[in-house]
This record gives sequence, structure tokens and C-alpha cells, in this order.
Amino acid sequence: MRVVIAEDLFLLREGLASLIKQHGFDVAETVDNGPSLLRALLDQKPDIAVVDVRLPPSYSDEGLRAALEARRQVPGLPILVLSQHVEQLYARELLADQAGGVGYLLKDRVFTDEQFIDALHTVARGGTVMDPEVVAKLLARPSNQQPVTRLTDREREVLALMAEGRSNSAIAQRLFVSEKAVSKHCTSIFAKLDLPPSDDDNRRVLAVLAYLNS
Amino acid sequence: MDDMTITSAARVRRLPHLGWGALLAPVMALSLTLWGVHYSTLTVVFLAATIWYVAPAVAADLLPIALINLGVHWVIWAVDLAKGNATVPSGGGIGGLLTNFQSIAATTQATGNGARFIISEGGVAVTSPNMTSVAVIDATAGLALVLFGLWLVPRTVGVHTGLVKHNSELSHRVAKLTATRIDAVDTAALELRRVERDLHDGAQARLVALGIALRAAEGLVRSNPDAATALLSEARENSAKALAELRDLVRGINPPVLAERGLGDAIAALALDAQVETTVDIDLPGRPPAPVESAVYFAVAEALVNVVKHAHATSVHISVTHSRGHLRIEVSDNGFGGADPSLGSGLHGVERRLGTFDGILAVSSPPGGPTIVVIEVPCALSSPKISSY
Repeated sequence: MRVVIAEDLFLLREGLASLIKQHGFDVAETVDNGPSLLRALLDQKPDIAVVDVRLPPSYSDEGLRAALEARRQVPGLPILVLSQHVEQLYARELLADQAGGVGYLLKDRVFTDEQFIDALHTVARGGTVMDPEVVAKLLARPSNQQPVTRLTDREREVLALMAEGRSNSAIAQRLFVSEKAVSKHCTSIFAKLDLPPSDDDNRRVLAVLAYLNS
Repeated sequence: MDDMTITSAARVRRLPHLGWGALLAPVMALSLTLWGVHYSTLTVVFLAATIWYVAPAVAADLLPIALINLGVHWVIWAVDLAKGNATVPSGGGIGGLLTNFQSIAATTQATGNGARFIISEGGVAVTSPNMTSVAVIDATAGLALVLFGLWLVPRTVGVHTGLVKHNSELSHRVAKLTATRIDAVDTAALELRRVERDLHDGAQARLVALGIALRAAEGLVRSNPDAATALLSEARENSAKALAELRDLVRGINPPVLAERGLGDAIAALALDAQVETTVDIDLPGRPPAPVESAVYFAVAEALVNVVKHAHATSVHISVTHSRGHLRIEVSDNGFGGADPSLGSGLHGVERRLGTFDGILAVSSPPGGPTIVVIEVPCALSSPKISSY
């Protein structure tokens, strides 16, 4: 799989590249600023891009904006956004096009390379990965009238793990239940959130979105 | 110290005006020579102009008095002329001085009509064949001057009041600036101490622990690989915790969304993270200056914290607008109300911080609710950044 990496700090950029190479990915290009990132994304059309939110020249959310623009031109272009901090606001912007293939993780998660590499695979496949911290903030948020309130506690737990980008088997392991039980919960979640039948990955994205918008 | 700095700055600004005042003297001399314009009137104007630049309020009071005085003396002189015994007194005082000046001018008029001078101990006397017509002209001019002076009185009183008011406004402003500057300096120092303490007790301590754990693991790698692995994973946890602490610290100094996107999105992000359902309505065509953005952001954050803690509200609405040079934020909730702004130390701190920018914070919270917090700061907006994407 071909990867584009956008990170302005040299040490982190090289570290990410070598970590990703170790896990059998092919680093197509590394860039260190917003405009080059947009060009690289559109030229290379990588299988996945790892993008830092804050990039030169403006050191604002240059990376995020380049990623959003690239996905506007190439819908569903898989992008995993890394940042020193996670914001619900940015998570919503990344998910707004409902095309899937997005991830949003704290840079710390790179330390746990299984989690990071899993996330790369999930996003490249078109899945959605949200940092546990974003999910935790969402869980803490009170919601009054949304359909999410119809979910049982267990179903909310399953949905939260789904939002973190975990597969059914990973969720089953986490909650110490069978995979069959998880898939039953999933069907029930999709029904309660009024999600029409479609391929599973896309429905998972929509479920996460419904969750975010609760 | 503060007052002195500001006063000397004001003095520097006034110097060029003094220059203009000095220019009046040669102009007066020139006009006298060329046209023989009435000497004493110009003197009064010159004096008033000079005093105006030194003590404007005094000059405003002096001008009509001087004009009336001059007019009265002129009329007396005219009467003396008519009687045929006009003598210029050599006495002192403003009256004497003015009379001296105008007498010489009148004398010029009189000599033109074939007048004669009689110089004596008491001064200079003058006689003229057509004394009556000269006296009538002088009396009329004197009366006109007196009337003009009287007409000026209420007006210059207004000028005087205005100047004094302006001065008291200035000293009020100086007092306010001094107070808010002390607040700003105190707040900044306090903030630095907090950051230093947080770094010292948090991230710094964790990095030390990290170093120790890594060193220990190094020693155990061969002899006890299991223990080394345990130490390494502990070290990794410590590094993650240090990062989390640094993240919180950064959020408290300069929140990332504020730095990256500005006030509008930062408040939207606050609303998303709030513990109460919060809607926002943001209408900002540009960005306020960064220090204002920061002060206002923390003011809104504090207001939201108060809603969660005290208001028992189920929903909050935040509106952000900018009109007529003022940034205005309203945070309203549907809670119980009855909030006392004098109680919250948090809100007091916010108020002081806003004060640095001449901003205000007002709380309206009748018992039973709703509570509305209004934040208003005078500021200009910079034009929105044009995105390359």
C-alpha cells in the first residue's frame, strides 16, 4: 500500500516513515507543508495519507484543510489525521462528507504501533477511526432528543468502540462477548438509528456520524 | 511614576502648538507696520493665543475680561478726548498697559487731523482740532468691544467647562489605565507562575521518571528481560501521561482551535465540548486582535463553566456579533437565574482581564432566570484570511 506522509517536524516525519515501512507499507512521498500536501495527495492518489493538522506555512490547520480539499476533489480518498490534540469540531468536519475512509488520532497513539497500524488498515479500507478521546468527549456530552438516547447502555458501548474503528471481533474481545452477540447489537443499533441496509462499512460510518451528531 | 510618563507624553504632543503661538508675534509686528491695525486688540489676541497654549482654560476666561476692560478704557479715553484733556497715564496694571497701547493708536489718528502732543510728567496729552469726531469713533469702537466681550462671556464659560471636563476625563482615563495595567501585569505573572508549577510538577517530573525507568530497563535487558519489558511499558505510559498533561497545559494557555481557526470556531468547539446542550450563532466577518480573542474565549469558557456549576440549565445559547466597532458575545441559559456576579471569583478575574481592553462583562440574572452574560469589547476586525484551498 502506498502512503503519503505530511509532517513538518523532521524527527517525527522520519520516525513515522520508518515505522510505516516496517509494517510493509510503501512510502510514496513525504511532505512538510500544506500546499505540497495537497499537490502530493492529488498527484499520488495514495492508498492512505497520514496528515498532521498543523503545518507550515501558516502553522494553523493547514494540513486539515488540505486533506478536506483533497477529499472534495477525490471523494473518499483515505486520510488519517494526526494531531497533538483532538477536537470534536475537526472530527465533524472530517466526517461531514459521509464518504468514510477517515481517521483522526492523537499523535500519542503512534506509540502503540498495533493500534496505529490497525487504524491505517481500517481507514485504507474505507472505515472510520476516531480517537478514544473524541469518543470519550462525545460520551460525556448530554443529549436530549436524538435517536441515540433510544440505545441501551450496551449498544452505546458497542457504538463507541465502532467509532474508534474497531472490528466486530475486536469489539467482542473488548467486551468479553461473542462476535455473534456484537453483530446482533450492531443490527439493533443500525435499526434504531434508522440506517438503511447497505454495505457494513458504510453503515458503520453513518452510525458513527449519527453518534457524533447526537 | 505612571502619571508622570503619561503627562510628559502629552507635553511632547503639545510642543508644535507652542511653535505656532510664537509665530503670532512677527505676524503682529508685520501687520502693524503695514496697515497700522489697532495695536491693543492685536496684543490681546496675541496674549490670549499664547496663554491658550499654556493654560487653555485660563485663556478662555481671560479673553472676554480683557476685551471688556479694553473697551471700557477706550470709552473713557474718548470721553477725555471730547473734554479736550486726554492724557495717557503712565500707570501700571493691565488697564494701564492696554490704555497705553490704544492711546498711541488713537494719537496716530488724532495727529492725522492736525493734533498736537503735550508731553508732561503725568504722561502724553493730545489735542486735535476735530476732537469730537475722533472721540465719537473711539467711543463707538470701545462700546462695540465691550458688547463683544459681554457676548463672549457665556461662550468662553462653555469652553472653560469643556476643557475642565476634558481634563477630568483624561485623569479618570489615566487612573483606569493604571489600574487595568496593574491587573494585566498581575494576571500575566500569576499565569506564568501557574505554567511553571504545572510544568515542574507534571511533565518535567514525568520525564525524570521516564529517564530513571529507561536506565533501569537498560540494566535489566539481559539479566531479567521480563522486568525490563515491564519497566519499558511503564515508561511508555509515563510518556503518554506527560503528553496528556502538556496538552492540557497548552489548552489552558492558548487553546489549539483558537490558535488555528480564531474566535468563532473556538467558541463553536467550546460549545461542542460543553456539558450542557449549547447552540451557537456566530457572525464574525473577520478576526479580532489575538489578545482580545484570547480574553474573550476564556470569558466565554468561564461563563459556560458557571452555567454547568450553578444554573441548573438544560440549554445554553451563545451569540457572537461585531457591530459599530464592538465585539459582543451573549451567553444565555434557561436555568434558575439569581446569579450574583460579585460572588464568582472566576467571573471577577474575567472582568479584570477584559478591562485591559476596555471590555465589560455584565450579568443579568433575575431569580427564576434566564441568566444572560454579556461580554463587550471595543475592537476592530482584521479582514478574513484568504484560504489557498
